[in-house]
Amino acid sequence: MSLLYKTKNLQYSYDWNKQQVPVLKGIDLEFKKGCFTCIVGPSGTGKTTLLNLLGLIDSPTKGQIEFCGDDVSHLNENTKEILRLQKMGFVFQSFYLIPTLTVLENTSYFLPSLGYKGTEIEKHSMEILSLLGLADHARKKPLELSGGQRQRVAIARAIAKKPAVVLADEPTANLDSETATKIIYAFKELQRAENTSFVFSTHDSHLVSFAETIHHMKDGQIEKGAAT
Amino acid sequence: MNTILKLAWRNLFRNPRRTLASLITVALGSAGLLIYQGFNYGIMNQYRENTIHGYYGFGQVFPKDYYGIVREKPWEAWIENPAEVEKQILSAPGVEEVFPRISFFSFIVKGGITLGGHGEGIVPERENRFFNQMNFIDGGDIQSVDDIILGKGLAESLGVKAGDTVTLLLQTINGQLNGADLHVAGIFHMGKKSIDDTFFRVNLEQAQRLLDTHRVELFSLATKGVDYWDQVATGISKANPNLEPIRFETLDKVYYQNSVDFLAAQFSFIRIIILIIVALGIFNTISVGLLERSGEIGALRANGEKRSRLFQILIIENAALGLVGGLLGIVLAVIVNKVFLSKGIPMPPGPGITRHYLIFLEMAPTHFVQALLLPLLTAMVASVLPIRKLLKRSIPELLRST
Repeated sequence: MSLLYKTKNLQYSYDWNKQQVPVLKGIDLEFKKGCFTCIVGPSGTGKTTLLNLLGLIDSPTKGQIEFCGDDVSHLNENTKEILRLQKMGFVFQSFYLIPTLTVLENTSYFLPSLGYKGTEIEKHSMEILSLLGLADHARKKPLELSGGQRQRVAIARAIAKKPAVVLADEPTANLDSETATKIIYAFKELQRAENTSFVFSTHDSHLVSFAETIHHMKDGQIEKGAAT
Repeated sequence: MNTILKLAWRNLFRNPRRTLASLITVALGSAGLLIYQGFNYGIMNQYRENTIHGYYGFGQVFPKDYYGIVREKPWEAWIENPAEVEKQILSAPGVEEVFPRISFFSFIVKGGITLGGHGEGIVPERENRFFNQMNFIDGGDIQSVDDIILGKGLAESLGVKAGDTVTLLLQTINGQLNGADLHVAGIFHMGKKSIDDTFFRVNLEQAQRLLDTHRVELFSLATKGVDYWDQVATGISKANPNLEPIRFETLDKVYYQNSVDFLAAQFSFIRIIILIIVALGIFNTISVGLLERSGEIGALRANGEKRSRLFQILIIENAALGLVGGLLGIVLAVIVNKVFLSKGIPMPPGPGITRHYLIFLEMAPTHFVQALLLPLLTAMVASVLPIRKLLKRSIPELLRST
């Protein structure tokens, strides 16, 4: 199976009081295409930062990230925008839906930018919503939905783009266990149906139990021999 | 583009209370602009009407190189063949009526009082039809060749009223003393103290007789309208190159043009202040609104939304705010005008003017366009800074700040 991501000595630090504070201290990882991977570890250990670097929404201080075989460590913002649009989907703990748009409109938000036209947009969006059990809520606004339903809309928005990878930062943190399970099943179904890769940062042991690969982080590093 | 417009429009209703606050700010600014501009335009139009129908007409025709030059013997330059020149002027397209005039200095004697005055010879039966801003406070206009009408201040200084007789004493153009006893037909005021204190009018025929000349100094003109002046001036200069047509704005530069320029400058300044207030008023609301959407913007950007597209959406959103606010402002201004200001705004006398007057708001189509476009542009400009600031932030920063 070919590689989705490969990181070499990935480092990240930020300035605080004129001092460099290291967050990631040399991460070497590989993610295969179609993976269902969790990054786990205590708070403040750098999981979100790693996800941000993999999702090209931040740049590493040192080291290299390869995405589908290409070095993407220091691309310009325009190229990153195109890659994020076409190849990546992001899901966050706090949904971040557009409250003034319907579920269907939120789901189809990026489709015109990807070349979808006319009825094709609605058709494709409805397929995704059906897959996530939201077809009946297509005309509703996000505020009319439960937390779990909103998270599924956020997933639908990310998935509708047919990305190579979905990066999800604590996607089940705000959800009850029943809803979280539904969402995890939805992820698994998408992995199966579309061969979409999933990389999660999470504390949720339930989600972790579904992962095919688990990377444990501690103090900005991947614990050696801890991948399971 | 449809998606952007739809999204921008819907976002207006995201936080109705905040949108309402912004709309009120923009609408008040727009209404303020329209009302103030209508007020200014009303004043300017009243000044213009007073100037045109009070004394100058739409313009005057002088012998070439005569106007504005001080001469020892001005009558030597006056128009020698008035009847023929009058026909030439009337032949110019756009001219509707001509009013021949001569001006002269004379002493006016009543009892033991002798005052100097600025006299003018006119053809009353023609002038009455056009010059309607002469307000008679006693008696009426000139009816016969032996009638005289006096400015209010002059009449008061002489202690005369309508029906009295005064004596004019002056020099003919040949330097001989001449005079006539004239019947005071009326006492007027034109609203300008400088005129009312020194000015009097007699029949042109009487003035010519007293000055011993058949010439006229100038012709005032009634044209089809202000906008016809260029056409009229060209026609007259073509018909007789020895004539110089001068428009009323130039003739009454001190009162009319300076007042108009003053009001225009004042309006420009007030307009800037109004727009700054609008900009500051909505700047804060826009900034707070954008701050609340940091996470949403961050999530969209993380998923590949272009900054340029977000910029468009947010700018169009604020443009819609400016547009709707501008429309509401126009409606508000029209209601205020129709309901509260329909009877005019009482004004105190202006500089050099002696009477109170009423101003009616006059709103021209260009004012409506301005009241719509300026708040729209202001809303867009006021939003540029907070939007740019928001979009310059990194995605992790946007996601963290919610």
